[in-house]
Amino acid sequence: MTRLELRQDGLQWRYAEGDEVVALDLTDSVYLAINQSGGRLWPALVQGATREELITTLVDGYGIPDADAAGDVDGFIASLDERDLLVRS
Amino acid sequence: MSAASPSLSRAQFAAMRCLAIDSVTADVAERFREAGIRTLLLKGASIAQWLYRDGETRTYGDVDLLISPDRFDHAEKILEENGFRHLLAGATPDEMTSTHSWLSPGEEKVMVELHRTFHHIGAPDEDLWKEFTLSTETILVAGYELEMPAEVARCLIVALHVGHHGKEFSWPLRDLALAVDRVSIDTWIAAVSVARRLEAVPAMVAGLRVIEPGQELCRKLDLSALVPTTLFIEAENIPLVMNDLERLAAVTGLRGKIGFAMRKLFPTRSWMRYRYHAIDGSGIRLLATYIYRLTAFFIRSPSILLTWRKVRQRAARANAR
Repeated sequence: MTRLELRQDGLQWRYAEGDEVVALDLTDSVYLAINQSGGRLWPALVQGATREELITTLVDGYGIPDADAAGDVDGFIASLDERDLLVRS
Repeated sequence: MSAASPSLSRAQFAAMRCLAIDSVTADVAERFREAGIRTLLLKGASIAQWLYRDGETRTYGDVDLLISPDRFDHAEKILEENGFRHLLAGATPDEMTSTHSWLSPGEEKVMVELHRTFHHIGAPDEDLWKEFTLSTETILVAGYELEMPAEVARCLIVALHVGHHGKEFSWPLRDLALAVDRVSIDTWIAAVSVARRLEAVPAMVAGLRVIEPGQELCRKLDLSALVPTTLFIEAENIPLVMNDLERLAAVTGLRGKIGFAMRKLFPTRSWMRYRYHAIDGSGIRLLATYIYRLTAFFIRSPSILLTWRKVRQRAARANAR
C-alpha cells in the first residue's frame, strides 16, 4: 500500500495554535497555512501514513463519516501534491 | 480542507515569523561555522524547545547568538559581507550596548542580535563565554544543529532577561515562570553558582523578584542581594531616562557630567534612526525629532527629577525588605 510522507528537504513547519500548522517551503520561499483538520493529519504525514490511515485519523478525531473523511483527505493530498510536498513509497 | 489559507490569524502570522527567524538563524550559524566561528543560541528556539511542551506555543521576534569575544568582529564582518545591515552603525561606543543588532537582507527582515555577553553580567565577556561553553546542548533549528548553553545557564538567562525587560513583554515572564516551575531546585542552585562567578547575582535577584514564583524561589534558595537602582529601574519598567540620571550621578567630575549629559541630549544620527524608526532617511524629520525630544525633556524635567527621587527611595525600600 502506498505510504505518503512529507518531503523532508527544505520544508520547515510548526504549530500555530491548537492543531493549526504553518509551513515554509524553502525551495521557493512559500508559506503555507494549514487549518485544524489538515494540522491533525500533519504529524501522520511527517511519520508517513497510508491514505486509509489518514482517513481513520479524521474519523477518530472528528467523528465524521468515512466518506466525508475520505473526501477531505483526498482534497488535502491533492493540495500538497500541487506544491510538490509529498513523497510516495 | 486546504494547505493554503487566504487570511492569516495572528497566531499563524507569528508562527510564520518564527519559521523565517529559524531559517535565518540556521543560515547565519552555518556561515559562522564555515568560518570557524562557534556560536550559541541564547534565546528564541532554545527557550521554546526547552520549556514549552506539545500544544504550548512560544513565538519569538529575533535571533540571539552569543559569539566568542575574540571572534566577534569577524562574525560582524561575515554578516556585512552577506548583506546584513548594522542598525547602530556610526553610533558612539557610549550608545552601543554589548549586543549588536543586524537586519537581514531580503524582503522578510529578521533581526540578528550578536551578543558578546548578556544583560547585567558583571564579569568580563571572556568569562561568560568560557562558562556558557563549558557545557552545551544541541538543538535542531530549521533542520540545522545548533549549540545552546546548558540548562543551568539557561535558568540564569531567563532570570536576567526578565530583569532587563521587567513586565514590558509577556513572553520572558512566562519563560521564567515555566523555568521556576519545571526546573529542579538543584539546577537553580547551580544557576546561582554560575551567577556568582559571573557577578550577576543582583540582576538574577532583580529578575526573579518580578514574579511571585520567582520571589518564592529566592526564599527557597535563600538568595538575596542588594539590587542597584539601575537594575531596579529596568526590572520595574520605569522610564530609562531615570537610568541616565542614575548614571549621570555616578559620573565623577563636572566635566565628565557635562560630557555625559551632552551625549544623552544630542545622540548621534545613527542612534536616533535606530530609536525612532519613523525618521529613517529624512533630514527634516530627524531634525524635528531632535527638537521634539529636547523640548519634551525640558518641559518634563521637574517631574522627571521628582520621579527619580521617588524611584531611588523605592529601590532602597525594596532592598531593605
